[in-house]
Amino acid sequence: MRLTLCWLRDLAGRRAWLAVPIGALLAALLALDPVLGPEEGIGSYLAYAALLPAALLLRFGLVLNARRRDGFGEEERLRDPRGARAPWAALAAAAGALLIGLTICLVPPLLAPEPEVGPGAARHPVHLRAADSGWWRADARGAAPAGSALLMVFEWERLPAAGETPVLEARDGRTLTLVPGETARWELSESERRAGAIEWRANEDARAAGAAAVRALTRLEVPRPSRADLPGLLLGQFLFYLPLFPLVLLLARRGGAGGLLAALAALALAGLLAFDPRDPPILPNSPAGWIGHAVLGLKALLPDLRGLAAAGQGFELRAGTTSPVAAGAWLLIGGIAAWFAHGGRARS
Amino acid sequence: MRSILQTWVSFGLLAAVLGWLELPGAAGARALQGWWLSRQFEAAALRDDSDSLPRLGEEILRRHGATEPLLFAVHRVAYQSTGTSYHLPRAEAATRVDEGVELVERHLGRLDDPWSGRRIQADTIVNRDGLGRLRPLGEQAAREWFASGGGPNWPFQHPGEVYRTALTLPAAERAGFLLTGLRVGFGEE
Repeated sequence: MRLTLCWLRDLAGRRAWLAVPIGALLAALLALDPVLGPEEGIGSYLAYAALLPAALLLRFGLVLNARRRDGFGEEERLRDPRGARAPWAALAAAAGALLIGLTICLVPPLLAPEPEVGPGAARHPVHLRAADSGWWRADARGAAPAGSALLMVFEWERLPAAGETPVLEARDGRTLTLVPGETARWELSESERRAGAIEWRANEDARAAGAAAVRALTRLEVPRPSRADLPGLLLGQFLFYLPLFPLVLLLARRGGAGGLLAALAALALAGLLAFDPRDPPILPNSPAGWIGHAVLGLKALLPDLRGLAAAGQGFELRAGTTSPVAAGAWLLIGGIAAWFAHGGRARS
Repeated sequence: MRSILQTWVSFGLLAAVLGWLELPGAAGARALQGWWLSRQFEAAALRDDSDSLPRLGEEILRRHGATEPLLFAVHRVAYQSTGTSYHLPRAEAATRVDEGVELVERHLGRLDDPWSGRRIQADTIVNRDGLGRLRPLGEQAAREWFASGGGPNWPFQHPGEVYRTALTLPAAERAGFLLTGLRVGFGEE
């Protein structure tokens, strides 16, 4: 316990305990002010809050370096022959600092004045393309959050005649009646939400009336999380960053890397896991591009954690979409790293 | 191991610079930049700076994804300031209309409210352009806006009713009907 407190003191000195609340207050002022704040205030606030775990990770690497320089490895070897106390204390302190920091981030939004109107919904462009034999596919490029709906506009050649009922049909048999001059709203089913793709086709009556979707006006409507969702979103950030600390420790103790280098490598991995471009990157056909393809291949092998790390612009599209299996796998990776890290000796 | 990590970190930094991945904390920096751009946009709106407004609106959309500043800038610069009470030279007004309409067209696929984008385009072309060179775009914008019923947030039923009425007319008369509808303010009552 005393070792953990020493680590905690090293990780977050007195200045940090002052800086985190002030930073959180400033972030709440910038992100959640009803007049000066942006429309997706919670997303901006999460983006500011994500600076805290990133800074803590770098600090963790620097403290590892400093302790190595100050001969703590040798002391550990003399005082604890099994070599388990120091790494577990370091990890407990890092987890504690992260938890306390993110809990502090919860307070300022509660103090900020509530907006007069609710968070509303965000609308994101989706790629609409022809699939096979009259079927169309709208692709959100990843799982969509609960409550999402596809908004579509149709142009018509003529009004449907009496007795004609133009409808859209999904593969699972669900239908949506189309009315000329109204935006069609398709609520996503559970399977469509998980797949992030909707396939539909117009029935005979709709085709006879010349109904054609306007691609440029097709949008995925996603409800914006409210302040009441903030604890869950910050917990997501905690779960996303937590396994990075044992990875840093593993690289530093067993891999022979410096603490700062290990922290930077972990940050690069976090960046890859959280990367969610609106459009996939275009990689050149060159050695750099080949490395890019390899790294994106690595990303495909790792659990999809974009829902845990969602922050900033368009965060509502991914927030809460990470499956418990993916989150569990990520924590398991962290646990394995912690287990192997404690077996190694710090280099003196 | 150290060299592998150094390569990995170097690649991470290079990839972040090239936009292939985003380092943690970059979203925070971008949110701060978006906030600052919004303040600059408000200052430009107060100064009535018609040069900066569209540029800042485009920048905010590109960097921060917010649509409203761009649409506000186009409405202010291409529609409002080209009205008769502003007494702009005819050539200057025509240039503003062209640039505003094309700005919306360029970014329509990224707007979170493309229905309002279409409405601003159609309104500007119908009421300012005199239906000259931009007539085809004006017709398309009007058709799509009425077909959407004004979009999911439009508070009135009338755009949809106007569209259904237009569908009962011969195809050659529909565009003129819808454009006239915009000019006299159908869909706003």
